[in-house]
Amino acid sequence: MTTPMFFGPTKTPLYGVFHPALNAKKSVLVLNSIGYEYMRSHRAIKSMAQQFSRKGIHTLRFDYRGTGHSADTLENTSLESLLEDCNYAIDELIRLSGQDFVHIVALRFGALLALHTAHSDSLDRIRSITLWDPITHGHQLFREMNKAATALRDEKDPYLSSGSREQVLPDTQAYLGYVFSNKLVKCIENISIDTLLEISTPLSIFIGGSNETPASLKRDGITLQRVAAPDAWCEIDNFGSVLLPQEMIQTIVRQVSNNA
Amino acid sequence: MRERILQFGLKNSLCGILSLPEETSSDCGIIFLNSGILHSVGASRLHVLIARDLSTKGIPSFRFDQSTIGDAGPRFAGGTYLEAATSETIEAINVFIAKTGVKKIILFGLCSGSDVAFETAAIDSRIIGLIQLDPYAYRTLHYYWTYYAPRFFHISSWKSFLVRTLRFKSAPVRTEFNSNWFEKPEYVRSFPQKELVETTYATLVNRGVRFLCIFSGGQVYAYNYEGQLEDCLSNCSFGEALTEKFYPDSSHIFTDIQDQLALRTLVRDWVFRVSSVTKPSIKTPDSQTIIHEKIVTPKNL
Repeated sequence: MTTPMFFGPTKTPLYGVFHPALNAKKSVLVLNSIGYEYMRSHRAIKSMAQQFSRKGIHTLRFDYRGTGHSADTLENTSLESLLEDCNYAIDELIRLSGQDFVHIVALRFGALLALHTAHSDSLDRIRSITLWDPITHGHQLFREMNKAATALRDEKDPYLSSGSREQVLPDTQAYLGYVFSNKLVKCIENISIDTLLEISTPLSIFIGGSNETPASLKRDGITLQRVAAPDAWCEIDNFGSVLLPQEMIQTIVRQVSNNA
Repeated sequence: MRERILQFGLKNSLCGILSLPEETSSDCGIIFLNSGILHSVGASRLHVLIARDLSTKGIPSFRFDQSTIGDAGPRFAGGTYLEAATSETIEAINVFIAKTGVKKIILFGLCSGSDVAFETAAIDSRIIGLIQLDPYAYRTLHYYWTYYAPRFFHISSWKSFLVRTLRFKSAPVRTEFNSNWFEKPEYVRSFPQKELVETTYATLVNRGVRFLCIFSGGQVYAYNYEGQLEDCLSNCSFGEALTEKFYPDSSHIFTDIQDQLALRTLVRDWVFRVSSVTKPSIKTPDSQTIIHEKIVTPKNL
């Protein structure tokens, strides 16, 4: 039985769902992406959490502040607060599981947050990190959302459109229906995975899609695996569908549960 | 504002978030329904944003996940998607009323959510209003005029028509996506016979139900000018019961921020008007921000 809950700071509570497991010896914290990708990946993240739970691994998935059911909006959210949320989630999972450490599985932008969190984890609470289709530079997130927005605009009936759209909120930028503060966009754009990969925590990376593997991810000491699964996290279609790459989910669940 | 998590239904498999204002100003509340397989946060986080907008105006709301969607568990009941979704919506209404004391309900739904809202309103008299985003609509003569007239006078339309015609035989077939990788909504939307929809709307109008019907540019295959719903269901006398709005620039999931903001204001004002805030302010009992509780309904026993 899953347990939805609010946790974290009283003023800006975070929404999360805990998937408990029987006789669990491990705990996994799942870090999702943000903006439109958060919606598109929600079902995949839930499916992964259910599979972890069935494999005997406690799992917590949650919404960063400004996303999902958590408090606030992305307009008021900073990179620091997103990282703070990751730490709140680690604390919460440790409290719920009664264990001293967690494993992190992080999708897309969540990968950058996971690595950042590991860098500042002075308590050594993170036992391993698994990155799933990580973005390698923060600007990639916005570039891909812009590309999808352009494709969406091209589908519009040109004879009905009222023309160009105005920027309606000051000091913000909108991407596929989500408003980010300029400050947050700038901070995210400046993050590069290159500097973050230098960590002592065991790191595995799983990549779907057909694009070439970024050179920055090919390093000694990092387990890198290509999986035949889609990585179109930013695509909008007319079916109301969401991305559910089961091959990838099962591969990651197998890998994390088999690792000591 | 306070938000509470409620788990309810058979084996507590349904799950939702109750938004409670500090002071309730109305005996009316709003329930948000899933759209396709998008979870209760709503397309472009609209459910959360509107729920919190309304909460500041003293109106409670409930956004929940139907079985198999979002954070809800599996479905235990049989029947079609619409039957199950309708019965779960009624269950959600019961829980919402029990927890808040509201007496009148407004349902909010986009696409399939709009269809479920419509079906539920037909059988539950506690529903006094529907906010339907991209509901059923049927083409009219004016629709064809709106579609063809601008194209007729544009040389580029004739050019693309010729190109399409010439390429027709050699054009590559657009392939569907790999269904193993993507999950489509279980509910395949097909518009019922117009007469049936017209009759149901007429029955609801006679019962005093109000409608806010909002259309996006994502449903231009069926709707392309404001006022078309009233035109196509001309045998139903909506009178003052219908407010119709068209956002041609918006996608089906309202990704345009300008339209999102306009939509939020429209919904807030409409709900405020329809719920006719006459009840004296009632201060909600406790001031704790977040509460998590499980509702045990008779079915769980």
